[in-house]
Amino acid sequence: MKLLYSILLLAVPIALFSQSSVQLSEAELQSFSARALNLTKDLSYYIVTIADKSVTPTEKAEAKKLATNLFLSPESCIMQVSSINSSKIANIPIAQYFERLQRLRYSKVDIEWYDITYADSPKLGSDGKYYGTITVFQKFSGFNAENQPVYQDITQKNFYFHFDQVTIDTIDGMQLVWVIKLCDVQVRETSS
Amino acid sequence: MYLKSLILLIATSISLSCSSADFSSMEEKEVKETVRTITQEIASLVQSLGSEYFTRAEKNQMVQNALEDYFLGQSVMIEDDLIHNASQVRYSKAEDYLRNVYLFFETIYSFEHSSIEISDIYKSNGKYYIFSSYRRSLEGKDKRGNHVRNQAKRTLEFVLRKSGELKLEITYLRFGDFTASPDYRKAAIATKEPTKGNSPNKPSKSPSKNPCTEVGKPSLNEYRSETYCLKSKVRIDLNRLLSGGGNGSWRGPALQSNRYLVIPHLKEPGDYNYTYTEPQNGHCESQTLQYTFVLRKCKSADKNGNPSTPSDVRGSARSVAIAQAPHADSEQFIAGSIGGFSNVNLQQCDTFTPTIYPGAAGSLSLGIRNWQIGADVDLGFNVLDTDVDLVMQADTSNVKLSRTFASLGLFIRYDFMQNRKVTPFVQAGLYSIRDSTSYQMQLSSSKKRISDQQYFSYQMAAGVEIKLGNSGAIELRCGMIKSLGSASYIDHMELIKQDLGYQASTNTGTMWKRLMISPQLRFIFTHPLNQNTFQEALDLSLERLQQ
Repeated sequence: MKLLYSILLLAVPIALFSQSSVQLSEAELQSFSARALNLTKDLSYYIVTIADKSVTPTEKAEAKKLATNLFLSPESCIMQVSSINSSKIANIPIAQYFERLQRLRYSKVDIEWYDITYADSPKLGSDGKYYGTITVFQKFSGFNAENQPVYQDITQKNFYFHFDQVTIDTIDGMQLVWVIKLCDVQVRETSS
Repeated sequence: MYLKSLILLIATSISLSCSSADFSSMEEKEVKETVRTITQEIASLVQSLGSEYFTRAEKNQMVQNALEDYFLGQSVMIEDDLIHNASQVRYSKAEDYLRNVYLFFETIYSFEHSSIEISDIYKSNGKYYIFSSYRRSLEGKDKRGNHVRNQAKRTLEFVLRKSGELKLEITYLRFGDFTASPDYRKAAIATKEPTKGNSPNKPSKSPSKNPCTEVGKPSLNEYRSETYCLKSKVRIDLNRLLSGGGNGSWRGPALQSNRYLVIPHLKEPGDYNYTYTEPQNGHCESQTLQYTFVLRKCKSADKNGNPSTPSDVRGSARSVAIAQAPHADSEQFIAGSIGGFSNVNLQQCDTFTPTIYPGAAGSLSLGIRNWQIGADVDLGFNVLDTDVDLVMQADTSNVKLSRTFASLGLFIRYDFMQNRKVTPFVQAGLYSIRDSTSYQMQLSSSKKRISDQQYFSYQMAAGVEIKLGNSGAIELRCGMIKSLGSASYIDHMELIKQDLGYQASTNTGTMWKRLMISPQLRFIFTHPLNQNTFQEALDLSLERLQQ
């Protein structure tokens, strides 16, 4: 339910302000999408690291930290988790999701993304931020201690992104840049 | 087994040659870092066990995994701090303690370990111990619906096993600060610290204070001062470096796994250090390797994203343009040109690679050509824009690199047989070029200038001009251009100005030479001033002067 509210909250500004004049060029909007995709790939890398039991605790902690930093708010952003063994979809805060990933079941996981599509171009919201969605198919494989696959599924997921401008310190002084953050990750369909 | 994740893979051969020390300073540092991490992990674990987001089955599994991962065994005792306002200390087995979290609590909102202090490593009865003291803060709701909020000073005790490899396991969790038992003695730590204050390129040659001798130290030169192109994710292969059993640490955020150092996000170009300890062959010193990351687009990264090693640049460029220029017969003319050019296929990246990116160019020429001698003054301008993969902070950002060239050229040309269909000529001239480069983070509104320099070059060429009717010509030239100074970008200008052409370049250091074979298509867009008209005007002027 919480996710639905989140999505609604996200969708309302998109719907209300999709008519607003877009202040960024098409190239910049495309760049948003490309960067959002990079974030998705980075997340995949961190997930694999967190779930890998051969990785030291220190490295896992670093991976969790980096993964959490990809999200707008690890407490309020939601990761939906599904399983082919159950019709239930769980809504888990991002911070808890990484804990769960680290502490449960698998000795190793593989994550593969494919059929990545941009559900729509980033849209300007009333708050001056841009919002966008990427739809991906995720192939998830979990392995046991003997490196045997014990679970596999293919899930279609929506990644919701926020684009915000911040001032950062660069090699050449302070600069205003766009920062992209992930937020909710919604499960659309899970199959074996 | 997740327990393996607790194992610190630190080679112990150091002990053979460093028999007076129990641990190297590097080992001690890593042990303490791992103790700190596990201390924080225990807090995360308890919070997860008190979380409403996990099922009972999942929590049971978390407990089993944690016992395997962090604890010496199920018999490890814990002074239970979960009972609110308990009148006396209750002891629980580790498994019971962890299960009590979700048996006693409906929800744990927060469970944090703060003010963590790690003790020295102690030795007692041939075993090593280390302690972590911290302040535990708990806030939650118990099964009776009561809001629970309390703090306690706690100490985790670890046993550190050293038999082939180092292994940390929790042996006790209790209230209070750490206090060493009388029979505990501090473990001896090799006092030699990693090289400090020296140039990263030059490892310290000062004699080691520890008994180790530098025997058979591997040559590290090949790993030093490597230059990488900044990319969204940098991966450095440490296999060769660590093949001798060494280990190292990277300063900054990175993940080292399977002997690959992966740096997901570099904050900015610059020098980054990797501190490496080679424990074999009696060598106990740490070496600091320097990796330089520069703002360049790397063209030659392989499929795995491994960066290339810079080397001499060899490449070729193609440009296509529509040129607008005066008819060959013109004696005075004003001409303009517009052009575009495609990407260059360079094989390597380097700080001074004359990388050519897609761009556009324009020029305005003023000239006079009388008899067989002509003089052209060229004003040229072109803009190159490209995206550079660069990470400027903890977020991937592409950078738009803009390079503008403004040129002023003066050329003298001599035609051998004028007014024929094919006119051979020779040409010589000077160029003055202003090269201005700036970058802009793609999603930023501000632009930053990298360089703004003035270059000069001279050029000599010979060719033929083939007329195409009354309004067109193709020019074929073969020549040489040399820049006067250290810059090499001067050829870009020439490349663009030759418009429709193919050029091959070789890098000869700071000076550039190029063979130019540049067919040029021309057509008239402004009719030249009529010679008679010019003569009439001149005569009229003379008359007025005489009057």
